[in-house]
Amino acid sequence: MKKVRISFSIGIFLLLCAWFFLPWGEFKINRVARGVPFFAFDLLPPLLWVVGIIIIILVILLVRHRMRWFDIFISWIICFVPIGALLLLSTYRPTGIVVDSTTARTSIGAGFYFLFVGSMLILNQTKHAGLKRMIILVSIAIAISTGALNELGLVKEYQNISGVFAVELQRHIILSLSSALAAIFPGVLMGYAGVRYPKIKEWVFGFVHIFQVAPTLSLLALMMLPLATLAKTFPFLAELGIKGIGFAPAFIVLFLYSLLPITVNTYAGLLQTDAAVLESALALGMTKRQRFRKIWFPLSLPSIFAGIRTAMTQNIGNTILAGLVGGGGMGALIFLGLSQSALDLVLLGTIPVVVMALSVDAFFAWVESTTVKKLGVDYDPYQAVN
Amino acid sequence: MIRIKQLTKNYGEFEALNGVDLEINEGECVVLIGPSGCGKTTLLKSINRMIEPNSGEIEIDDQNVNSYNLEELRRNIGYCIQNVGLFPHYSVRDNIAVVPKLLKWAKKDIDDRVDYLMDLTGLPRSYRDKKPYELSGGESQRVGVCRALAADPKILLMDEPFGAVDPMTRIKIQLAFRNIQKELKKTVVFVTHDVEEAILLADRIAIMQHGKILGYDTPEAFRHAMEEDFVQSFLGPDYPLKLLKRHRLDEMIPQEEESSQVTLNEILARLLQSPQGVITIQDADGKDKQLGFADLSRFLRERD
Repeated sequence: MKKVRISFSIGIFLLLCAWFFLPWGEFKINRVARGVPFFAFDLLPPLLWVVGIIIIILVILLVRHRMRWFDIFISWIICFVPIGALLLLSTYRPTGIVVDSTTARTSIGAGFYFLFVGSMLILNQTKHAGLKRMIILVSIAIAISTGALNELGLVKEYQNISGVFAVELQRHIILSLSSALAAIFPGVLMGYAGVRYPKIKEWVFGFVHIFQVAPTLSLLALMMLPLATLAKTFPFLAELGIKGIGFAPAFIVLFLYSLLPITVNTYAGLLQTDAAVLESALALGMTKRQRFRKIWFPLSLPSIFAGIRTAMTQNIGNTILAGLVGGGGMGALIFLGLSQSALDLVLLGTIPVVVMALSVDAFFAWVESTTVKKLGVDYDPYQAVN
Repeated sequence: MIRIKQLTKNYGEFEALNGVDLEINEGECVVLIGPSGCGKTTLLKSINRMIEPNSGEIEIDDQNVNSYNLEELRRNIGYCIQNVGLFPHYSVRDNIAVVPKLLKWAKKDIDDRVDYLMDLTGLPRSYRDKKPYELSGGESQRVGVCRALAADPKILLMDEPFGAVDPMTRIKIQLAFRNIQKELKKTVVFVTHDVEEAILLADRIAIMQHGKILGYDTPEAFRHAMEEDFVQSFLGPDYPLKLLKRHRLDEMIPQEEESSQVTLNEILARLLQSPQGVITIQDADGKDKQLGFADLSRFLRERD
C-alpha cells in the first residue's frame, strides 16, 4: 500500500504543477527564435481547465475512499490526458502574431513532461497498468504517424532530417551493441583469470579500471592519435576503416569501457559461488572441465548477465560521444542541435537514447530474472539449513 | 577394506595428522570423533584424495589410492558433508543422478536408482522435480545421502552430515541412516563431534586428538576404559548412560512392532521414576515381565 501512496502522491504533485505553474510549451515563429511560453490556462478553454482541477480533486478523494471507482472510471480518462495535451499543443496558435506556418512551431515544455510522467505514475498501481501505459504510448505514436502533431517542433525537426535520423539511429544501435558484445568474451575471460590466478588479479583490475577512470572524451582524443598514425603508415588499414576519426576510435573506446562491468561481475559471480557446492562437485569425481562447465559457470551466470546489462546500458549513453569523432549515432544530431541552439533537435537526439537505454535495461532484467529462475540461484544456503 | 598407515599431514607448523594408523573392515561403520582441529576431517578427506598427505599410505582393497585414477576413485566413494552442497540449479533427481551420469549409466537405470534411493531415505517421489531451495534442511540432507549412495559405492565418507539439522529431525535421520546401513552394509567413515551420534551409528569409534588416534574400539568396549583420561574427557563420565541409547527395548524383550523404537535409556528413566525400582513390560506374546536395574546392567555386560 505504501508504494501506491508514494508513486500516486508524486504523480498528483506533478499534475498540479503542470496545471498551475509550468508552461506546457513554447511557440516559436521559426526554428531558433525565442519562444512565447504558454500555460494550461492559455491552452485550455476556461471550463475545461476548471474541470481538470475538479478531476484531480476527485482522483485524490476516490483513491482514498473508493479505489474501485477510480480503477473503473477515472484511470481510463487519465490514459488520454497526454495525447490530448499533445494535440492541443500542436494546434495552438497565439492570438495577435502573424505566423508563417512553414517555419512556426511549438516546442514541448516542462509542463507537458510533468503531465506525462504524472499520468504514468498515477496509473502505475492501478489494474491493467501495463495496458493503460500502452494506450498512452500507442496513441502518441498513432498521432505522429497520421500527421496530427506536425506543428510540434520535435516532429518538424524529424521531418527535416528523417533520412539522416534513420541512418544515425541505426549507427547508434550498431556501435553501442557491437562494442559491448565484443567485450563479453574478453571481459568474462579476464574475470575468470582474476579468480584463477590471484597473482595477476591486480593487473587485470588495474587495466580495466584505467578506462573507467579516464574521462571518455579524453580517451577518444587519445585514441585518435595512434589510430591516425597507424592509418598513415599502413594505408590498407585506412581502407578497412581504421583511422583517427569515424567508427574505429569510437568502437575501441566503447569496447574498453564495457570491459570493467563485465570483468568485475564475472569475478564476483565466480567468487561468490557456494564453497560447499564446489567441494561437492570435486568430491563426486567431476573433472576440472565438468566442474566449470556444469556447476561453476552456470551458477555465476546471473552475475555475469548483470555485468553485460550494465555494459550495454552505459554504452548506449556513452555512444553519444561518438558523434564528436565522426562515429555518428544520435550524438551527431545532439551536437548539431547544440551548435545551432535548436533545442528541439537536441531533444530529438536524446529521447531515442533514453528509450533505447530503458528498453535494453528492461530486456536484460527479463533475461536475468529468467536465468535466475531457471538456475534456482536465489537459493540461500543459510535459509535451507535450519 | 581401508588400511591407513602412518599418515601425516602438516599445514605449515600445524600438524593436522601425526602418524595415523587405522584399519576399517568391509561393511563397518567407523566414527571419527574428537575436538575441532583434531584432524578427523583431514583424515576423512585423505581417503578420496581431496587432501594429499605429506607421508604415509592409504590402501583401499589392498591397493594404494594413488594408483587409482583420481576421478574414478572419487566416483566410487560416496561423499556427504554438513552443508550438503546440493547443486542449486539441478532438480532433486538430477542432484542424485550426478555420479551415475558421470559413469554413463543408461537413463532407465538412473531413474530406477533414483526412485529406489528416494524410497530408501524416505523422500516422497513427488520431490523428484523440486529444486534444492524448496527443501527443508532435513530433506536436503536426505537428498545429500541419496547423492552419496547413487552409484552404489562400497565406501561412504560422511563429514558431520547431520550437524546442521535441528535435533528433532536429526534423530529421525540418524535412525533412518542406521537402518539403511544395516541393509546396505557399506564401509562408512563418519566424522562427528557428537558422542551420542557416534554411539548410535558406530560399529567402531576412533577417538582423535592432536592428529593422533588415542583409542579405536567398539562403543561397548570403551565402557571398560572409563578410568582413562581421554575416554573420560571425550565420551564423558556418563558414557554408560549414553550407551543405553544405542539399544532398543526389543533387544531385551521381544516387542510388538509399534513400540520397538523405545530405547533402553527411556526404560532406565522409567525405572528411576518407579518407587520400587521395578517396572512391568509386556512382551510380544502378551506376557508381563518384571524389569529392574540389575537386568539393564546384565544386558550391557552381555554385549561386551
